[in-house]
Amino acid sequence: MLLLFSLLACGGAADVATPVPSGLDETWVATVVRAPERFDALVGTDRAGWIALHKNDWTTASYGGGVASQRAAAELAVLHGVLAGVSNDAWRAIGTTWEQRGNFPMDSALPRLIALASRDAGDETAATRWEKLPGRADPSLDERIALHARVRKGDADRGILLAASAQPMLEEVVSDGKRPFWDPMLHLTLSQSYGRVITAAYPTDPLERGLFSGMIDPADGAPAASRAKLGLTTPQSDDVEACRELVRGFDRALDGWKTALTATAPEAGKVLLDDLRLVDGLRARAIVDWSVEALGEDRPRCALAMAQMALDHEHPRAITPLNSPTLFAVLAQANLRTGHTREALDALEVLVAPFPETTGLDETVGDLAVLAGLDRAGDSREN
Amino acid sequence: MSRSWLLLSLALLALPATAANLRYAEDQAPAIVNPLFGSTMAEARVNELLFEGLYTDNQDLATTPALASTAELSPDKTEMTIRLRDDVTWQDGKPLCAADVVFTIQAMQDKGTASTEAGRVSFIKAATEVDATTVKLKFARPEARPEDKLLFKILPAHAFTTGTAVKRSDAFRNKPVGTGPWKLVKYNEDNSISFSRNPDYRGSVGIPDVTMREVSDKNYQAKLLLYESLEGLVRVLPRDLALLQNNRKVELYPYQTNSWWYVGFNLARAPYDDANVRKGLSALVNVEGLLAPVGTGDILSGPFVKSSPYYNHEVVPTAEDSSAAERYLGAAGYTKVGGAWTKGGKPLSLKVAAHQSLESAQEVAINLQSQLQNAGLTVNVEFLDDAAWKSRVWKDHDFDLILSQWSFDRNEDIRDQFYSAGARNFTSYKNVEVDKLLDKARDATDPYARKVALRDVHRRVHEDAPMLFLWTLDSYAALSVKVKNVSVHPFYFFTFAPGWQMK
Repeated sequence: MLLLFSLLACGGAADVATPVPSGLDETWVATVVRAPERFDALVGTDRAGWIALHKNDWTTASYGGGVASQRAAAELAVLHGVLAGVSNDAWRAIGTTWEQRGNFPMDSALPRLIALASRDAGDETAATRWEKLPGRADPSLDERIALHARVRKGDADRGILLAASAQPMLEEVVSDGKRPFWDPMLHLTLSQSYGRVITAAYPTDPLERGLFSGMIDPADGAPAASRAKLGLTTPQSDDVEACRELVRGFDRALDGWKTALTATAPEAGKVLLDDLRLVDGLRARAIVDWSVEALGEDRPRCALAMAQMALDHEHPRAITPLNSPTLFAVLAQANLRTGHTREALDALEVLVAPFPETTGLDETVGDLAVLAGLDRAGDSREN
Repeated sequence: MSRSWLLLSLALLALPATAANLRYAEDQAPAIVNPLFGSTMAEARVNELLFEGLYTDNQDLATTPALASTAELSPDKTEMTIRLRDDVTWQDGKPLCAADVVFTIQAMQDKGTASTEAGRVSFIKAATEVDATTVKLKFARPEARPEDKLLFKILPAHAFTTGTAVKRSDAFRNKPVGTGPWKLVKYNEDNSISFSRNPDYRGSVGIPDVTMREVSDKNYQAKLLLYESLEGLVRVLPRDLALLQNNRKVELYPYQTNSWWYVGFNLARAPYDDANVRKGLSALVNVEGLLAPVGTGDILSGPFVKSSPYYNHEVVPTAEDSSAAERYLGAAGYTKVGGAWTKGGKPLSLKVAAHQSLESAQEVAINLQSQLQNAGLTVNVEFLDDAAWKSRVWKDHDFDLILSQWSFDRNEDIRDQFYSAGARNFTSYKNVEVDKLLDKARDATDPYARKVALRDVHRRVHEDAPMLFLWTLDSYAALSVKVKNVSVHPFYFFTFAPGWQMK
């Protein structure tokens, strides 16, 4: 409601103050605060969509069909891209962990599912090795693979997959009951499907493209270039302390800039700045972008450290205007890749209610956590 | 000046910082520094500074040798021969030897010791010394990865003179000797404990001095950190998170202790042996109301946290429901007369015991008392110090209801709490089917089978209601930004602390 009120109240001409020189002056936050009428005009085109985008409610934002909807689809593409990484890592780890432990179930579709995840991860060698192992054939698996291929090409609606993802893809009858397997290809397919929105028609106006994003450079320059403009050094290795220092440096830059911006902003801009927590939002989203970048560069410890610093610790288990779904996906993958499988589940659990299609991934990572602990003696303490 | 500020001022004056001293706060100083008897998280954290196991977790949480050097598992996986490192000495200068490992296992298993850790070595049938630095372990059944169970702390046999039946009161508790990165220097008059770097430790240790400070009023801990009178909080109150996250001198580190709060009933004592009474009392409690002053958290329906693979999401948390309470208590023979629940003319009167060191326990216990009294019960609340808690709750099971919290490592092994012969089954809970499921979970070689079994345990335990499951809170450490290279172990906290640095 506060956002709605702010959005309604922010009309009218504004005094454009003299900008304070900073690498942050070209951000969407600066534009909104210094020219609130531009913000008002933009959100007026799809108020519900932009409110949802501000709240990181990308599913709702994606319904409107306008710019906010395109932006939300792009966010969902990134989210599912990171989740695809979680899925691929988890399936492959189930395979290797179970193999090392012994008693790997060869009379199962499991080898083939691991092969699919390996192929989606780009590990053709592993995919071939798993495919060569004996396994249980299942016609429904072939049908699902064919459906994925059609959705990835854009020849079928992803809604069919989303509906199917509510249940396990396969259930094998074993002596202890049923062993359910969830779809290992789902999130890469969803990422590719949502990513199709980024076409020639995707917005090019800096405010449309940047509002409520982590974008520092409106020209959409690489994050490293944006950081360089702020005088921040990008760590080249998976050095946790260097990455924490990067975020601290960003905080120092934002603190000074926010003070200066507030001093020169028109009243309507100040209201937006404070009520919508624009600087905090930019900060959180930018750090999440950097964390995704670090994951892509195989720096999971850095990604984890930065994502933890991006988290709004007042609401650590909720998607909020500061905690985006991708933040939790990053926390999941970074934890998984640093051996903290159980912690990855904490992050995934946040996503299950708003994104029911992540239920299978949560169960799969849970299976890995259980498998990894089969031989351990548990410890418990009071308080 | 108010009393509160006076207390804070005094605390600020205490133990001035040195450049290389890490001062961290505990709600209550460990009652005992002897890994044979540790039962609290505070004790586990201190043990991590002083002692080592044969194996430990590396930063990727994979089992890695600590005191062990090499190991060989027999083809049938029932025996393991472990060679110890030859460069380890105890903090009193004596060398680590195989006899220490054998002694530790036998002391943990000795019924005369009554070790709280006995369950962790129950898989070992025999431990024998092959030579001065080689130990052979025989297992009760084949073990696929026994090193994953050999993380318990090893003690120096020469420091104990009474054989393997060790007493809690043994002098070791005052002069513990370990092989770990720090050694205990002294117990201070203000209940703090000073540690200094172990000069004989084989690895590098970045922080020379560590001080554990007892700050029993948790409300002051965050303030002391902000006033730089502490460098670390091991567990931040949820309501302090906002204060700390906006301070540039402090860094927050989330970690997972799989902790849940509960109100436990004493099933060995009437009328709590009657499930209708337990369910009736549970239905009188507004759990959300109890949680509100503590902070935000997830309300639970069973003995796992919500993100656990074992949590059964089909089971709904117990809700306040006065009509259900009337139904259950009525079935147990209670009637409400003049606003009070009575049976045979006697009012339903109960005592709630809580541990003094449990964060926010006072608020929760008082609110619980208020809720139950308003519903027509007579309720007394008592806060027990550690000695009384250990004696009355752990040893004698002398309580009606307890308010407490369990924390679990990433295995979330609840066997000790709910198996009928479990060492931590204070509530005297017994259910043959649950025992079978716990056995099945323990013996499972298929992760899917274990998951199904433990989700079933969740459901059955919820139905039996030996506890009213309350909530889980997020675990956060807060450390000064002066502390660098921080990596927190999700359960033992200080496992990776040798790599920390002070700026």
